[in-house]
Amino acid sequence: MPSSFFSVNPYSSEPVYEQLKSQIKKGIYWGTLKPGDRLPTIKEMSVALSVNPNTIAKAFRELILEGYLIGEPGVGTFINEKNQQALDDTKRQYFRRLIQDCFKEGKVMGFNCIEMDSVWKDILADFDKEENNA
Amino acid sequence: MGIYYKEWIESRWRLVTGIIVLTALSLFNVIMYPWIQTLMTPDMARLMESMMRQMMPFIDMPALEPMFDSWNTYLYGSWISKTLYQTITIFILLAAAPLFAGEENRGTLQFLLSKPISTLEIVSAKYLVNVAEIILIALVSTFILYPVSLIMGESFNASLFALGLIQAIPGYIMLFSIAFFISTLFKDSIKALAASAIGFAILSVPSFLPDFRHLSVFRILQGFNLLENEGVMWSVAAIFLIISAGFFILTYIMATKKEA
Amino acid sequence: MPEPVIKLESVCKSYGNTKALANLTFSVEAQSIFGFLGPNGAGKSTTIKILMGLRKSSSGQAFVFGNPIKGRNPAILSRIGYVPETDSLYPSFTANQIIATVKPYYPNWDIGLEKTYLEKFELPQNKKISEYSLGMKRKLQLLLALCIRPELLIMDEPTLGLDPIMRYKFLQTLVLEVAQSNITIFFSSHNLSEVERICDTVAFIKNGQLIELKKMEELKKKGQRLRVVFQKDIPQSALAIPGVEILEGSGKHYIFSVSGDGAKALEELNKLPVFIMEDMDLSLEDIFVEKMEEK
Repeated sequence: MPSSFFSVNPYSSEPVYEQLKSQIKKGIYWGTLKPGDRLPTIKEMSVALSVNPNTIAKAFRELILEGYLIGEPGVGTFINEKNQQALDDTKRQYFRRLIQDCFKEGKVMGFNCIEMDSVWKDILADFDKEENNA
Repeated sequence: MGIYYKEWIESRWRLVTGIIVLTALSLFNVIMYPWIQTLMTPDMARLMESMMRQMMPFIDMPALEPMFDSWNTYLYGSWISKTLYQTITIFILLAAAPLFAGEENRGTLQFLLSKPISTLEIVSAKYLVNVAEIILIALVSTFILYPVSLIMGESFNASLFALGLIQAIPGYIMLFSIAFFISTLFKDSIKALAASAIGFAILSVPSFLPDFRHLSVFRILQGFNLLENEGVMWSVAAIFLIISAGFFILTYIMATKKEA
Repeated sequence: MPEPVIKLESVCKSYGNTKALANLTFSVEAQSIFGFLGPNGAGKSTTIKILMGLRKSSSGQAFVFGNPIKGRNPAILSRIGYVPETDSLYPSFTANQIIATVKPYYPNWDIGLEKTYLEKFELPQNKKISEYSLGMKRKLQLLLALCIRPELLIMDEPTLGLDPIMRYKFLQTLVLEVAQSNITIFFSSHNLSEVERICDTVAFIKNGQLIELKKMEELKKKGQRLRVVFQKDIPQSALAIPGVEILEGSGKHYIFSVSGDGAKALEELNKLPVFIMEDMDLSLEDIFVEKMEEK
């Protein structure tokens, strides 16, 4: 997994280690980072992204504690074989939050639940059609 | 070590220039000799002597006549007693002034002081390298006269010149030490140079006063006593070296107070 | 808790009637990358010079590696790499001559690194320093500072005047050093973006006084500036939450600034009927400008 796969914005108010954590997590959710994949070393990442190595180390440390990554001393840091059930639950929660944010914004714009529901159904129907055509 | 190397690199062209200039002046004396011989008959010498005594009664003139007598006394009189000490004094002024004042001026003092080199070593390197150069210039430009004398078919009184230098060199070192110290008092080489020059001028005052002549550094440098077959003034030379050490210590103290 | 690499205790420095530093007190932990920020004339260079023994403090005491700094201390200086703000290299010397001058005084000088950096920084070894550009001089200073394998790197506005590419390479070199050794880096800068990139701790200094010292993750944590959109008009209770201040807004849409214990304030805000509560980007520049305009 090359370092160029990741990018961080040091100027955002989200700490760099948080950004890195969510990118790694997203990679796991999307399946682009598969269990057993080796991440670049802390040194490689910090030089490639031009950020403090302690930042990268912190991200790795916390992800190891949370069970997403597994560290093998002398070998490297790898994506953990997370319990499939637990991973599915986490993915579902993440997806729920995405949709909640959408609806919140819809409400601010003044749409009511019925209007939002019809937009929702429309979009899903389109996706369905695409899948059937493919 | 490194800092001696640095002082060498900074001053090597000064050394080369000094050797070339002084050697040229030294050889000039040799070239002038045949002319002097023809011009300066004993009568001429006595006439010149009395004229100069009349015009400048405060200057203690040695008897001119014997100076044009022989090869060695002529060379000694015009080289050791005149050209050498005058030009070396100028060289001393030029060499010492930038040693501290110039570093501050250029901002390079900050570079030196931020390195793990003890202040003593910084001061010693500047002192020793430059003193060595002064001595080297004096030796080379004086003893070049040895082979040249042989070429001219004259004999060279090596011990006379050696003793002359032995008496003069502590004086040169003392003058350098004073100018070295003065360099720490200024942040500008030119100002340090001017102050040192004024200092030397003050030191030369005694030579104009008949009663205090023996206090003049420059008189000692001229070394007329050796021409008159008196011995080397060892105690004076020792005093000069002690004073030199004193100014070295003062310079060190000023250096430790330097902020960059 | 290991001894801090740098410690200042009530350090004051006056030049005649001008106070350059006033009761400066802070510490730099081992292996951190510490950014020292402040406007021109705030006292950053003076602080650095006092740490290096180049200037003496008027009162108070500075410590490096636990040792009190009282003037020049070659034993300590051999463990510090220093990149000064002003050009202090000998103009008539070549890079090789300067290296030969300082090398003997550093027992840990790494010749391999010397070769690596000479090549990486593209420094002509036999050209005189007077012919070097500003960027090249800075890089040579950095080379001299890193080849000694220092425990502490002190830099005064190291990237000032460098073009973006050189600045990038400079930062990369620093990051690499941190990744492969136990070095502590302390540097002053005007350039907030580079501080934001690589520092883990930041101190703000103004008029010789320490305004703030915080870890970068503290400074940049979420929940400091929030865009909040209420479901209806702003409830009165929102105005009464301690630590929460309204910066802008009217009707339903507000920008809040949250200080102090952010967690508690967020808890209170979450109890209110809110549609959207999102973090607004607060860059180091925003924080810096705010801090400098306070007091």
